[in-house]
Amino acid sequence: MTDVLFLSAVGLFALALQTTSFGFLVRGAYKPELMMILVVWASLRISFLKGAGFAFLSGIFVDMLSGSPIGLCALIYTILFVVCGYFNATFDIDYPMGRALTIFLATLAAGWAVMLMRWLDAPLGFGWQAVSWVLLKSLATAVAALVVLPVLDRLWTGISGVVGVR
Amino acid sequence: MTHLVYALLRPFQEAVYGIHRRVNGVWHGYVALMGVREENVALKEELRGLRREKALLQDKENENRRLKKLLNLKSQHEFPSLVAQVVGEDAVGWYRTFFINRGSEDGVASSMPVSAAEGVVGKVLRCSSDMAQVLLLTDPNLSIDCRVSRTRDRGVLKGAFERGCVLRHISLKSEAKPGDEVVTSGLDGVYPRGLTVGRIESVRKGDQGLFLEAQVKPAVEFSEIEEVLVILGRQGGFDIQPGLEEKR
Repeated sequence: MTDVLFLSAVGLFALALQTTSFGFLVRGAYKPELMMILVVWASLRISFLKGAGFAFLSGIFVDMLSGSPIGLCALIYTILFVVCGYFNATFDIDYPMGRALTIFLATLAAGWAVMLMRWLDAPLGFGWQAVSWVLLKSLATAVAALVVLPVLDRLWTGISGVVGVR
Repeated sequence: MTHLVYALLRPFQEAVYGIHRRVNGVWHGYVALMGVREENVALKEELRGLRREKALLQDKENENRRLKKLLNLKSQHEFPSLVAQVVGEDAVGWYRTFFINRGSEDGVASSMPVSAAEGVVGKVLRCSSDMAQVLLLTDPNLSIDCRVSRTRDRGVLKGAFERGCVLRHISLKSEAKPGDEVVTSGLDGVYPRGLTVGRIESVRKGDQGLFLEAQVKPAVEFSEIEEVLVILGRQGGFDIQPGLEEKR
């Protein structure tokens, strides 16, 4: 129950931050995806069912708070949660650079999935501009993850006493 | 006698005066300065308060100016409209949207046009009872039927992220050129006719060569919008049939 409450609280805080003051700190289009960081963190720390549920629900929330069709981010986050969990089990990505790289790749994949959906919806030539945008946004998210993930670990350790901070 | 008295008194006088001067110096330099310091702190606090007040007044004045512009726009429209404040932005940034503090309780419904004093902002995407999400002009998911104001050529305007917007399907015979104003045609049934959208930056032949395509810079600076006007048209649009726009 603690993990559900923790994820809910942090998730709501991240959403509130992303829809309000985050845009002032980082230019709107390139702002880091805090929810993506949270989903990847959940894939490393939280049990499968609860984590997958969180990934799906947070995706639904993000869908409702952005212009995406309802279900798109939910699907992307859930798939990325499962894939990141698998990668961690297979290659052990649970160290700072590994996690940052995973988040970079996850944001890149999510960005291209969104772009693909957009292109199918409105086939406008996005070109290099969209590629560089997705790359920069993924980079910004990975850099933010280097700061956010240790904070999340410390908070989680303090609350649950289960996971040691590497 | 006088000399004697003066001679006797002088060392005492000098001593007492010296003490007085020192005490006075200490008084003015320390005890009185303690008061000055407190006064200084109080004045600094007051100055801070006045600066805050000035910033607040400046903010109110700016808000007043913006609202006046919106009210001017509102009085120009023949249909009911509603002023709303921008309260949030898109959660992830993959889409170009923001949130306003009016919802279905205020009469806002999806697909209603949203405008600012400078021009068209976008349209309502979704709304709850007291909040609505606005899809911006620069988002490729938004299309608006537009005209080049000078030549009256029609085209479909689509968002293009950072590139602003692209006006597509302009006739090859068009004489549209950079600097021309683009306005809504009113033929899409969503936007009323004649709202400013932006200015043409460049014109080129489309990919297939069948139409011209114009790069359009939106009239609105999206990062600076604080208040918008929601045009409360009938749900489902303005119901304008092609060809009947002149009768409006």
